[in-house]
Amino acid sequence: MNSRFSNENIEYLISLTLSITASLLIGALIMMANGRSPVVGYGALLRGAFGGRYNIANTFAKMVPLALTGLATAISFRSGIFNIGGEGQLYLGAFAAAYVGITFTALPKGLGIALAIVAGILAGGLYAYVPGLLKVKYKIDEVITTIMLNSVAVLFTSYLVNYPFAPARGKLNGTEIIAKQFHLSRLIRLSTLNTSIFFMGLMALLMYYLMEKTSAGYNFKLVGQNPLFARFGGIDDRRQMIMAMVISGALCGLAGVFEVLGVHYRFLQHISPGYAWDGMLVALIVRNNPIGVIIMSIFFGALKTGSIAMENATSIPSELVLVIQSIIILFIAGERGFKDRFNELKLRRKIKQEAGEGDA
Amino acid sequence: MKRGVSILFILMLVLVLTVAGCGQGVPAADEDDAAEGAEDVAEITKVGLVVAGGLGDRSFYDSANEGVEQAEEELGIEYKVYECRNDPSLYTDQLVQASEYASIVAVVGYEFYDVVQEIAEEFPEVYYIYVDNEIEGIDNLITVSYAENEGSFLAGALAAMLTEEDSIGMVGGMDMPVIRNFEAGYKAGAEYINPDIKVETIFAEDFEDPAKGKEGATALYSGGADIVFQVAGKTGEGVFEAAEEMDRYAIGVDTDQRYINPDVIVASMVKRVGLSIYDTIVSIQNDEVEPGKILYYGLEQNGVGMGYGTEDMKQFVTDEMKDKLAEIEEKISSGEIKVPTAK
Repeated sequence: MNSRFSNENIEYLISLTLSITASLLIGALIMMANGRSPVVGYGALLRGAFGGRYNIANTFAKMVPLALTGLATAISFRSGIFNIGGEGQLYLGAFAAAYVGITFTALPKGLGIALAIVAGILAGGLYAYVPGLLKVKYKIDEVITTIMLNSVAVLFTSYLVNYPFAPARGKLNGTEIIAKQFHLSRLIRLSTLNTSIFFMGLMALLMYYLMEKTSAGYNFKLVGQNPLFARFGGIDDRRQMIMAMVISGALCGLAGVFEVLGVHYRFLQHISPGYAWDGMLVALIVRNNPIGVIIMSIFFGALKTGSIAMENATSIPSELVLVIQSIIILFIAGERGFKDRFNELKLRRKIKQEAGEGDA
Repeated sequence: MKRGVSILFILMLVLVLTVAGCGQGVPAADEDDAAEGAEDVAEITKVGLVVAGGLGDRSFYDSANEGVEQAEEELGIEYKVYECRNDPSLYTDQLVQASEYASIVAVVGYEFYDVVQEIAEEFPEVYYIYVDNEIEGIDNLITVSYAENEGSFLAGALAAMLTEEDSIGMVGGMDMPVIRNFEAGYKAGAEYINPDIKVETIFAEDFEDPAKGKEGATALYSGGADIVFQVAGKTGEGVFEAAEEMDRYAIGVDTDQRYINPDVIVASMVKRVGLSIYDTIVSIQNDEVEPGKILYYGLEQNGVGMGYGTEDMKQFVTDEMKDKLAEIEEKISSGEIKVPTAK
């Protein structure tokens, strides 16, 4: 309990709030430079993200893949192994789910969905296991291997949907539609929000418990901060790293599964517009904290739905939101530097004051 | 020094804050516009254009945009464009937004296959014009399908007449049915003129990235091809760059692209997306549509064809060649030449 509200965390929360405020202000400045009123712009953005049941549903629908890939990044980065291959794991997970959905059409609803989820988790997890193993056994940098395996997965699935699994009806680069009983129910009319959000919540709780409340989570953290120390302390750091990688891959695979079962009902060649990368940003902003990931992905989801509504209502381009996101990242990346400077300033003033008092 | 930086930073923040504060007093011009529009809903037909990618490709999506622009000028409709920027998570959202705004929604991109069927049933009072795919049997949905293969047959024949190396190429945006349909026609057209010609295709795997188009075209030119047909939307701009740098030629796509670089783009295979959208809007307004049908736009319907730019540009295509192409066109329309499809 103490650790969560330690000084450092509070300081971080303050800098995070400041960063977000500052980037929103810069966004406002850009709007004004283009002759638009930021009040109207942000008003439209806010209405678009939270202005009604449909809008809120959309915000949460956008949040699901971000939260899952964010958690995936959090666990791997925290353990000192960098899984940049989330996108590839997501594609394979999604394809595995679609494959189950078009092949085992006789399965009853619950069992079918469970099987699709397991298949997606396995596909993502195994695909992450390979670079994890290479890293631990042969010291091959996992950043390089995972990023390259992204292209392999994306191009491989693109081959699959264009040739062996091409649909019979409609010109579309995707698989056939998965059987009816695999479709997760939609929750709000017209929105793609579906029951996967409950699974996602469950996953988030599980990850929170694993990362913050178990000795395994502590081991992950220790390995991430100092693998050598962890090893001398009796932790098998290699096993820990591979495990983190596999869990991370499985979560990305799961994100892919939900895109298929809940949103598109089939695998599409470009099913992800870069969810894994956005998830990574989410995790980086909140320093791999699982609760932070959930909150930040709601924020990112809101920015995304809101920006589209803003564009349609006021013709302020939705790309502005990308600028805002990037500035937040920039501030967070420089957070330590800004803070040090601030502390130095404070210290200097204090010294001066004390020196002044000494004079008097 | 360090202190100076911090002060500068704080000053900037203060400035931003003050200016932001000032902004509040300014009346919202855009909101007024929106309110005005809402008043005369009954009189003006509203059209929503939903595109899977983004405008500014000087090709496919821009052609669709020209169609609604023309409708605005000549029919007095009002329109709004909804761009999805190739993000599948936005397809539903943008289509819903467009359906709530407009009474006619033009949906451009094969990608909307599932989404448009789903949404069309939710908004039975809205007409949907769906371009680049084929769906039958939904009463408020008209799909427009193009015979890309027929137009590409002409492009292939032209390339075969112009080439000096007996080797031509094509850069496709993605390995998928619509693009393969272009490829099939292109190849058949080239072989119709010269059975021994070498036709090679590279897929860029992207419709928005000129760098990948340049890479593909460079490979084709280096392999001996002297004319490359681009079928890759914005990615194709890279093909033109490569042609310029390597002193070779290119054929444009979707709109008459010669104006982009008349020295290397010898002609364009035009897919008149705008025209078909405009036509369909007209027939919806005149109540002449047959609901739930597929409209086919081939050479005969003037849905596809060749564009040679304007008179003042350097002409590569001689009148003889044009005559030959016209002859081929007739044979295709009459069924004498059977153009293979790959849909």
